[in-house]
Amino acid sequence: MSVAGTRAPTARRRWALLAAVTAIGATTAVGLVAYRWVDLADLAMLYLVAIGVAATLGRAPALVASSLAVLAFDLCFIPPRFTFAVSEARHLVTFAVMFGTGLTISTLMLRLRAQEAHARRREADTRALLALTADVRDAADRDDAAVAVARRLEEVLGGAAAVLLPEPDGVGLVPAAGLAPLTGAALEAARRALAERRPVDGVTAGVLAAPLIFDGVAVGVAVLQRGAAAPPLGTDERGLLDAVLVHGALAIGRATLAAEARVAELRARAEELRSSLLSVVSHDLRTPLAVITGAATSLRDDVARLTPQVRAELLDTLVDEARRLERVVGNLLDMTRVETGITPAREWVPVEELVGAALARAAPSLGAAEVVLDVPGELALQVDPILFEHVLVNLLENAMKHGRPPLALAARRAADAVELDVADAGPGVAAAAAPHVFDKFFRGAAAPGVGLGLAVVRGIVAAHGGTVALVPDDGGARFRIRLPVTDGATP
Amino acid sequence: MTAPTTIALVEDDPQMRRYLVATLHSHGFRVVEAASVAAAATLLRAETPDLVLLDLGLPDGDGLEVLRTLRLTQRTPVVVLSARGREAEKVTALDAGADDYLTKPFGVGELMARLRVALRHARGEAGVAPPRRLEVGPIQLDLDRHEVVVDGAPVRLTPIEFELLAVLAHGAGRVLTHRQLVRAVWGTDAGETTHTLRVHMAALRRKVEREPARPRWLATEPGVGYRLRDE
Repeated sequence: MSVAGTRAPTARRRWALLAAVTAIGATTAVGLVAYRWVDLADLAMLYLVAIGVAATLGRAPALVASSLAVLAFDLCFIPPRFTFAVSEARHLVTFAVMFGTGLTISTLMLRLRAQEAHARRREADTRALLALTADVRDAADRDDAAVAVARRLEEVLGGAAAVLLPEPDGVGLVPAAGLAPLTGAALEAARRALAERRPVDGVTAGVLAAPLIFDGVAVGVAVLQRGAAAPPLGTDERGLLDAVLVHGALAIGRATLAAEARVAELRARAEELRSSLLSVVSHDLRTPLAVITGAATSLRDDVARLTPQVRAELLDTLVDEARRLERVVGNLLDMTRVETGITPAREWVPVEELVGAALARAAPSLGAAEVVLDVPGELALQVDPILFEHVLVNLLENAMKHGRPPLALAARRAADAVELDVADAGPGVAAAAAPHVFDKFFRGAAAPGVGLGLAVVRGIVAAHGGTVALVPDDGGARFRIRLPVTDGATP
Repeated sequence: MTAPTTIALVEDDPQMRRYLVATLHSHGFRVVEAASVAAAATLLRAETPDLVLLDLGLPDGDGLEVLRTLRLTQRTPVVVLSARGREAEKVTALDAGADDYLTKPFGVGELMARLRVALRHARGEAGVAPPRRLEVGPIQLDLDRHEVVVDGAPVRLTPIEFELLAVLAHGAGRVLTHRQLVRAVWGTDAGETTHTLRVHMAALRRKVEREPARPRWLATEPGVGYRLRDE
C-alpha cells in the first residue's frame, strides 16, 4: 500500500507501449506475406488478436495498438492499397470494431486488476489487524500495547507512527511508542486531538493525530507523520485507521484498567498488612519487650536481693524472650517478602541437607524433644535452600508450640511429586480451626505468637509451585508439603 | 607478659558497640573502635589489630569497602556481622576474603567460638608448612597416605570426597563458601556447580556422620556454604 517509487511503473509502461507497437508491426509483416492467400476478414481477425494482446497491458497500449492497427490495415491492405483512402464504408465498421475491442478488453483488464489489488490489500489489512489483536492480547502493560499500535499503524498506512499516553494529571502527554522523533506540529496536533477528542488531519500537511477512545475516555493519542508529499488517505485507508484505533484504544484502555486494579489490590493488601501489623506490634512485640525490661532491670537494680536460683531464672527468661522476639520479627519479614512476591532461587538440594540445616536452626525450640526422621538419602528437591529451611523450621516450631513430641519428619517420592510430612503427637487441630491454620494472623488457642508461621510456610511453598495441607492422622497434627517433580528433572 | 590480643571493632550502632566492647574486654581482649568506613580507614592505618570485627551495614558506605581496602595489604582475619536473610551479602564478604561471619542477633558463645577459630587460623597460617595429619573431633586425616579414620574405624572415601574433607579440615571451625570449596577441590575453572558439590557432600556425610540428616560435624550453612565443626 505504500507509494514506493514511481520509477518502476514508468519503465513498465514504456515496455507495454513497445510491446503494442511490436505486436501490430509483426501482424502487419505477417499480413503482407500472407496477403495473396487470405482474404481481408482473416487479416482483420489477426489484427484483433494483436489488439487483444496489447489491451491486456493497459489502456494506453490498447489505444496505441488499435490506432496503429487501423492505420496499418488501411494503408497496407484496404484497397486502394498503400493509400489512406477507404473504398467501401464497411471497412469503417472494421476500424470501429478494432477500436472497440481494444477499449473493452483494456477496461475489463483494468477493472480486474483493481479488484485484485483491492483484495490483496484487504488481505494484508486483515492480517495486520489480526496481528494487532494478537499483539495487544500479549501486551503486558500499557506501553507494550502502545508499541503494538504504533507498529501496526506504520505497517498498514506507512510513515512514522507514535502513540502518546496522557500523564496521570490528564493534561500532559508522554510518548510511549514510536521511533521517529515527533515534530512540533505533530505534538500540537496530538494535543488538539486529545483536547477535542476527534482526529486532527491535515492542519499540517502529512500529519494526522487521532485520539484513542476507550469507554468514553481518551486513553491515548496516535500520531502518524507521513511527510508533506504523501497523498491524503483514501476511504479504505481511513477504515483501516479507524479499525486500528478502535483495537488500540481497547488494548490500551484494558491495560490501564488492569494496572489500576493491580495497584489498588497491592494497596489494599498493604493496608490490610499494616493494620494487622499494628495489632501485632502492640501486643506480640510489646509482651516480650515488657518481660525483657522487667527481667533486666530486676537483675540490674535488685541483684543483691535475688537468690542465685531466681537470677538464673531471670536470665533464662531474658534469653527466651529475646529469641521469641527474633522469631516474630523474622516471620514478619518473611511474610512481607511473601506478600510482595518472592522468586525462589531454586537449586537441587538433597532433602537430607535441608532437614539437617532446619533441625540445627530449630534446635533452641526443639530442646530435648525427639524428632523421628525418615528421609531417604538419595532424595533431592529443586528448591530455594534458604526459603525452604524457613518452611521446615516453622513447621517444627509450630509442632512444638501446638503439639507434643515425639515429632516425626518424613520425606518420600510419590508418583509425580515429593512429599514431606511434619507430624506431632499432640491433640491435633480442632475441626473448627483446621480451615484457618494457614491464614495470616490466625493463632491456635492459648498459644503465644503472631500467627504468621504457617502463613509463611504456605506462601513459600506456593512460590515453589507446591501445596501444603493439614492431613488426617490418628494422633496429632500432620502437615504435608507436596512439591511436583517433572519426570526427567531429577539430577 | 605478652601484649593482649587487639580486636578492631567497626560497628555503627552505639549499643551494639557497648555490648561487644564490654564482652570482649571481659574476655581479655584489647578493643579499638570505629563507627564508619572513614573512621575504620583511619583506625586501620594507625593500628595493626589481630582481628577485625566488621559490621557490613555502615552509615557512610559498605563494610565491604573496608574489607577490600584491608585485603589489598593485610591478611588480618576479618569476621563480618550481618543480618538474617542477607545470605548473598555474607557470601560476597566471604568470597572477598572475610574469614567468617556472625548473624545478628548472636550469643556470646557463638561470638567467642568464631573469634577463637579465626585467630587460630591466622596464627597457623603465619607458621610453617601445614601439618600432614589433621584431627577434628573423631575424624583423623592422613594427607600423605590418603587415609581417614572416624571413631577409630577406617573409612573409604573417593578422591573427591577426601579432597573435600581435607579442605574443610584445614579450615576446621570456619565456614567455607560453595565457591571456595568448588575452587579448592576442582580448581579455578572447573565449572563445577554447587549441585555437584552438594552431591559429594551428601556422600561424604553418609560415610562420616552417624546420622547424615542430623550432622554433628559437617554442618550446612544454608545459602552460604559448609563448616566442619571443631567442637
